[in-house]
This record gives sequence, structure tokens and C-alpha cells, in this order.
Amino acid sequence: MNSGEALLIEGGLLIDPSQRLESPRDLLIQGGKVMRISIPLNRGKRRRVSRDLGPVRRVDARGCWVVPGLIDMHVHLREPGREEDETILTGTRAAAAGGVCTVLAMPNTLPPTDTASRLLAARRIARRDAAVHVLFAGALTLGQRGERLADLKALHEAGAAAISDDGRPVMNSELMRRALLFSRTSGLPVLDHAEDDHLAAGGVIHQGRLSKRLGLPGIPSASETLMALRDLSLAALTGGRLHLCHVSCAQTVDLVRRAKRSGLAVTAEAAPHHFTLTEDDLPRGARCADFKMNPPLRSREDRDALLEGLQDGTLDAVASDHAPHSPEKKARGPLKAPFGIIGLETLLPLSLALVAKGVLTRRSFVERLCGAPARILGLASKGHLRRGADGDVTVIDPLARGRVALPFRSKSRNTPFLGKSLRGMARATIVQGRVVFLREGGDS
Amino acid sequence: MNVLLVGSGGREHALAWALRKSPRVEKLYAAPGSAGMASLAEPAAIDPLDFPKLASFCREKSIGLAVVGPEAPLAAGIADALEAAGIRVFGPDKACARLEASKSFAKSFMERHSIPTARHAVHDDPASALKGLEDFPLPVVVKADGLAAGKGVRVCSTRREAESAVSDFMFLRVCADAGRRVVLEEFLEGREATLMAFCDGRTLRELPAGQDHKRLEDGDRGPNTGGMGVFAPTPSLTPDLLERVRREVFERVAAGLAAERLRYRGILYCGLMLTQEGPKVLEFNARFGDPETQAVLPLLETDLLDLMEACLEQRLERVRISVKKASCVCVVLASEGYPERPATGREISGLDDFPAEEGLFAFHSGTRREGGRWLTAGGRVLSVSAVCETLEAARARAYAAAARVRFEGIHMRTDIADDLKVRSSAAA
Repeated sequence: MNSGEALLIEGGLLIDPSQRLESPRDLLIQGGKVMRISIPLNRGKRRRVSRDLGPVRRVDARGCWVVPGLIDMHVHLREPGREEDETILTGTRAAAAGGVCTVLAMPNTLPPTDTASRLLAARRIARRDAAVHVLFAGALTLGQRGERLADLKALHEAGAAAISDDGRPVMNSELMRRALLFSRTSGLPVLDHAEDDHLAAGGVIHQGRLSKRLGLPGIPSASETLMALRDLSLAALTGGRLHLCHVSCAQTVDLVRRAKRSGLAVTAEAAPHHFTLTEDDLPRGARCADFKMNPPLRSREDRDALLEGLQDGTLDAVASDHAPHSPEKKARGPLKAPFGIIGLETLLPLSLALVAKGVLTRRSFVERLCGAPARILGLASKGHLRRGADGDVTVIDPLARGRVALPFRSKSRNTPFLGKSLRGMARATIVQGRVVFLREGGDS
Repeated sequence: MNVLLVGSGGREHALAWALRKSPRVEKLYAAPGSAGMASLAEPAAIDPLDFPKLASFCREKSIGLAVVGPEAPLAAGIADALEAAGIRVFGPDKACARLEASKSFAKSFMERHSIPTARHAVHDDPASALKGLEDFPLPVVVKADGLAAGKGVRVCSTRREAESAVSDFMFLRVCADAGRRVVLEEFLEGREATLMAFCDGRTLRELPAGQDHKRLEDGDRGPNTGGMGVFAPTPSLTPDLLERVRREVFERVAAGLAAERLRYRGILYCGLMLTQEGPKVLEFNARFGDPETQAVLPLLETDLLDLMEACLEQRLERVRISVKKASCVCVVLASEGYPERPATGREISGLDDFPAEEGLFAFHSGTRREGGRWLTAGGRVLSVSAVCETLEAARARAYAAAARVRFEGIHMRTDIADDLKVRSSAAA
């Protein structure tokens, strides 16, 4: 089906904070763009669509929310170099099933996306294989070794949507300063994995009550907060567009809140596992490796602070930090397994749970998953459903239950939510006016 | 006179059949009507919510009476609009239709006029709704205030379920705007009965009471639906209980309507729970029920048009409704996937040679005609009704007729009016 065909999404609750809209509306997409929003007709009567549009595909959104396509601005697709964990094909299929229409792929591939030619090569693979939109971040330093700045201008010209060394912190403050300066002139955001290598060294879980009790090396919150403080200062100094990735602790939330109050244009994100789980959820034994990520699951107080930050907007966006690792790698156990868990297929229900709990309003939910990521990445035609917007739409069934169970679309299965029954699934995912995912029947 | 029927489902098909029996009905139209009832009522392709177009159609065709079937146009003010255009309407105006469109309005109306009903509390704020749950013992009923197509009522047996219901309605808005306000209600135990009554604003005159079956599966299991079958009259509404309903519900409704200057001209459907403390109102609907209508109208002997006009002219007091001394059983044939996501477009066989016998009906709820074939077009497809002297015979006749209709994925309950249901319904 080409994107020129018309698509009518009928009977849903359309939520678009940019239009102050939260009402039952039908949505017409044509030529890959949002064409029209109309008041729904009487139940049982099919809306007649103008003949000039040609054949119209209809999506039944009754009982569902209709929102701008979700944007996950923190995803690891592993291709090239780690195709045993994930590929652009499998990762974007996971995204589609999770209701995500656009992903920002981090550059820590093998080799990392640190030159224009590598970025262009990655984009070629995406054009061929991707099920959803893929944007690429260019690496901040060459090889992500933290020694020399990459050619940021070339990366920008080759189509990088952001700059990041995610996976690795940027220990050299001068390099970060220069990256932020470039950010100011180019408008590209710097996606900051804030971590102090030395403080975090050897740690596998949060340094706190549990690490003490289990006798495991811990990663202190200070590792994140210290770097966040440094980078906030550098952002103030340079005027660059700093974005803090995967904020995990209360102290960082406080810092960001104060920085915003003082007028600094900083943005931040939180990941669903951090605002859902805590160190108390870590199981004994081998499964613990599926709960291991960086930054780690922290205390209940930290989680509550994240929820508060999401509620008051201190944390602008929700992003999954989808980090697939093959079962072989995770089987090395909690001490030796690489950090990271997948998250594309659980992003939606875990975020929706915040609305069910009254932490987020429906509009804030759309802000965190659609509006804010679009603004941060400078995607003017995404994150909203005004006429002319990209035809990226997520139809969400808030009551649909899904069991987090194999087979996943992702190649990997490293998720702490394995076996859990979650509520709130994508009923349909539409990218550029084409349905890239449709949930069949009732519960999956 | 010429009559316009507004609607398109099984209920409207039954109304069309009953109206056609009246010698005073000349031309009968239905907007939008359906292929299924086209032999009785000529379909007019007009959206029931397009009031201006309906009004000009009525003027064009010299319609003497418009009869409104479904709730949505009534709640939107169809009666007000058509009456303003000089057309007589059988159906309550917008203010009266609130008795169905807003559960909180209905409950406070009942409170004001001492009509027996369950204890309740209204909440516009999620936090207060969650706190308000503490005031009710379990099980507690959580209802979305507005029209929610049957999906807005949850009977919750745990605190967690109740909190989830409040969250689903108020935060997740699964019933859209109907869940802005939530009504918490005490759970009532007893036997259910549905009673439809003609109301002229001063007097109410009831039709035979029915026992409906809301759950999808046999044994009252499975999700709630719009109704999978009805039998009438139900033994549960004894003459004594009926007398109590007349005194404690109907008379007080009439008094309340008068006191609040509500000009109700139409059918009032009462969903009742016959509790140990007597009959209590579960809910009001401002229109004929579906599929109750398909089980009750076949028993009506009085001219339906006469009855409706008596309502409009406030003469009901002098009218006695005459019904057959018989029983009627209606079985609904539903699509696979109903009520969540019904599969449609399946070919139906057995309709064209459905027996044309007296007292046997195949009312079309959700069908369409394509290339000479009948196809399923909705969750509930057909309502098969049979009238016989006894409930047992009516049940046998209805199921025998239903068995002649086939389509892929067909689902029906097999226990409508079965021994157990009738016995438990009659149990003292």
C-alpha cells in the first residue's frame, strides 16, 4: 500500500495537546499527511468519504486513543556490528508492535557511527529495512573513546539528528564544552549519558541498601548527578542544547528542576524501567542479569522523584533506552553480563500505567511520548496531529492486555518484565499513512 | 397517517411490524432503516442525528408522527428539533432524555421523588471518587455517568477492581466523555426484571415485563452485552410486585415529572431489581429496549399507533393496554467476536426461507443486502422471536426457528428461558 492511499481512523478519542484536543474525533490521513479531523457520526453509520480520495482504508479505533505517533528518542539498534543482538529490521519491527513510529538510534554500534560515511551507510540500511522512521545520532568522540571530538559538522551534514556518546560518558569536560558549542550553532541536541567512569567503576547495581546487603559493587547516584551538574554548567556557559538521558535518581531531578527554574534550556528523559521498578525488585539468581542496566534501578525515593519529575514536566520525555543483548551474553550472570534491557515493546503499557495511576494526565502522556521528543529533536511535522503533520499515528487500546512473553519482535529477550501481564497496547501503528502494525482480535 | 421511524436495528424492525398492523398507518418510512425491514418501512438515507434533514423529510412526506428508537438522537434533542419544526414526536425531549443520558441526573431525580433505588454517590474528581469508594461495601458498582453503549457499568467485587474501574473511566477515558463523571452505587441483590411503560407525563401504563440476559455466555458468564435474549412475561414480577412498582415507581415518576415540569411523551424503560426490600430501580432508559421490544411487542394487542397518540395527547389514564395471554421468547444471534470486535460481512443462509408463520419473527438487528445475499453487518445480527401459549413452548419454537439460520461464527445463548432460569426467576 503506498502512502498516497487514504486512511480513516474512526471512532477513537483523539488526544493532541498542541490543539488542546481531547475528544472523540475521526482522523483522515492522505498522501502520508494528516488531512482532516472530523466530528464522529452516529454510532453504526459509516462515514462516507469523498470519492476523490480513491480507495479508503479504515481503522476501527473504537474504545481507543488516537495520538500522534510515539517517538522513542533513545534506542539501540545494534546494526552494524552486533546483529546477534538486534538489527535495524528486527528493532524497528519491535518498535512498530510497541506503537512507536520514530526511533532515534544511538551510535554505539560496531564500528560506532562517528563519521559521515558510517552515518550514511546506516541510513541506507534503514531505508532498505526499517519498518518505522529511524533517526541517527552521530557519535560525540571518535570511536567513542572520549579522546578526540568527531567531525560534528560532517555528521550534521550527513543527516545526524543529534550528537551523543551514549553507552559511554564524556569524561573530558573540554570535549563536552566544544560539543555543546557546536550544538548551539547547529541546533543539534547533545544527548548526554551522564556518568562518572571512576565513581561507577566495577559497579553492577545501585549503591544503596541492597548492594550493601548482597555484597555487590554498587554504582552511586553521585556518579550521575556529578556529571549532570558539570554538563548543566557547561550548557549554561555555552548556550548549547543539553538533553540528559535516562535520569535515574532524585538528586538529578532536583538539579534539572532548579536549572529550568533559573531559565536554562535543558531537557531530560526518563525510562519506563526506572519509573516502574526499584532495587527491591531485583531477583536472586540468574534472572538478575535481566534487571541489570546502566544507570541501574535505584531506590523507591528515586523512583518517586522520577514520577514527580514526569508529572511537573521537569522530565520532558519518556524514552525506552532499548538495549538488546543476546541470551548468551546475558547468561554470563549479574556480574559479567553487559548492561541493558530491551524496552520498545513495553514502553507503551508502562507509560500508560502512569495515566491509570493519576500521575500523568492524558495530555501530559502525549507530551512525554510524542510532543516533547519531537521538539527536542527539532521534528516540526511530528508530535502533533495538526493538518499537514506527518501521517504518523498510534492507536492505543488502554484496556488491551498483553503478556510479556516470547516470541518478541526484538531478537533479544532481556526484559525484567518477562511473564508479566501488562495493560495498554498499540491497536494500530501508522507510519506515513501506512499501517505498519495491527493487533489482531482481542487480547494477544 | 404517514409515520417515520428513526433507527435501524431489531427494535425498530419490531416497531415497524407493530405499527404496520395499525389500519391507520398509511405510509411507513424509516431513517435510515435497513434492508431487513425494507418490506415494512421504506428506508430513507438520513442520519438520525441530522435533524434539519429529518425535519424537511417529514414535511415533504407529510409525516404525522415520528417515532424515535435509539437513545443517541433522543439525548441530542431530536424531539425538541422536530417539534420545533411542527412535527409530532413519540420520544422524550432532551431534558427528559437525561433520565438515561445522565445516570447522576436519574439518581438525583429518584432521590428527590423517593423512588426506591440503590444508595449512590456522584464524583467529578478522580481523587474524590477513589476516596469515595471507602463509603461503599463490596461489591460496589462503578458507573460512567454518560451514554456508554453498555460498557459503562462495572460490578466490582474487590477494592482493586473498583479503583481500576474509576481509573479506566476517569483517567484512561475508555468510555470517552461519558466517564468525566462517575457514579458509585451500592450493589443490589435479587432478581432482575425490565418493565417498559408508555408515559404521557401524567400516567404510566406498562407493557408485559421481561427478563433479559445481558451476559454473552450461557449461565450468565462472559462479558456484558447489549442483551442476548429476553422472555416475557417474566414470572418474577408477580401481581403484588407489579402493584408495588406502580405505586412506588410509576406514580412517583409521574409526580416527579410534573413537579419538575418535564414533558415526557414516550416510552420509559425501567430496569428493576426485585430485592428483599422490594422493587428498586437500577436504571432508566428513555426509549424502547433492545432486544426487549422484540419480545414484548409481539404480545401487544392494542393498536400501537393509538397508544402512542394517547401519550402525546395525555390521555393514557383512560387507556387499558390489551396483551395476548401468551409468552414470547426472543433469542439473539450474534457475530463471532461480539461484543469486543465483531466479525462482519459473513453470508447468512436460511433467511429467505424463514417460515412465514404467525407469531414467529426474524427481526434484523445488523444485516445488509449485497448482490442478492444477506450478510452480517454488526455484533447482534438477528433477533428470533416466537410466541406460544407457554414459555416452554415459545422457547422451543424460537430455538427451532433460530437453528434454521446459519452464518460463520454464529453465537447464541442456549439457555434463554430454560427451566433453571424461569424457575429461579419465579422463586419466592
